[in-house]
Amino acid sequence: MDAALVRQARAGSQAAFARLVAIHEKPLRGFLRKSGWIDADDIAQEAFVAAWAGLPKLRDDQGFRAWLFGVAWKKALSQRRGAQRAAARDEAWRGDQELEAAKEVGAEDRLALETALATLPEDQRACVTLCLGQGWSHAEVSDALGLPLGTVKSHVTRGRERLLAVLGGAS
Amino acid sequence: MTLDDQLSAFLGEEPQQSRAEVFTAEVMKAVERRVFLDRLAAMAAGAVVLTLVLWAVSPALNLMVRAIAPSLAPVCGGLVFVAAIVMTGGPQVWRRLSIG
Repeated sequence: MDAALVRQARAGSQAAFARLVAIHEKPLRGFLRKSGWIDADDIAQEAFVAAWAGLPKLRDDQGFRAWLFGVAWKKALSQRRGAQRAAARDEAWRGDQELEAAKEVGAEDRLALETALATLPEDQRACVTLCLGQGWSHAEVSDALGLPLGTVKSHVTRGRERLLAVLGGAS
Repeated sequence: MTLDDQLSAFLGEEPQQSRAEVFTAEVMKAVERRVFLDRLAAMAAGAVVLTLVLWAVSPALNLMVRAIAPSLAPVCGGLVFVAAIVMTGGPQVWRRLSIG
């Protein structure tokens, strides 16, 4: 479905691009939030605008999702300083960006997982969020984040072990 | 519910629905601004190029205008006269001429 919308957007259709935004905004913002970027919405917005401008450079229309997440990831890394500044923003603004809590996870487990997730290196955090949280394949994550496939696999394995450990189920 | 399921549910959490439409609208506003600025830049570049071309060929244009100006003068005069009538007469004139 992405490919057709990408083609229309590349031809100048803002309606098609708006549809792409509507499809991908929640997973992208969720990914950025889980990856620890406090100004996730700002980064996601900039990534979408950059994606609009960069559509002619996209070679594989079907690979729009991975490409978009890659653009957002690079933006996030380049805005690390901005993100640190954003940590000082007021709580009300942060509350506005909160994620919809999954019912499957209890309050204590959530707290423990959030703490454990924050201790993971940022690459590892991104890999586990995309592979385990959003069901991406290792190859897709490797493509999007620009990391070697083996690195992605080991990040996911180690990250999963560390997160499961706080749930009491280290394998 | 396995621990892996719980972990996937936690890692797959998405932003609340309430901000989704606002976010999309904000992105599209930024995209429109980008499109507008791109068009403006393209038009400015086009205007600069046109200006340079006209400036470069201005001697030839001068000669050409001088050559054809006398023969076009009656036509231009007529057009100016018609334009003046249309502008001053407005809809009444158009109605009489059955154009409005």
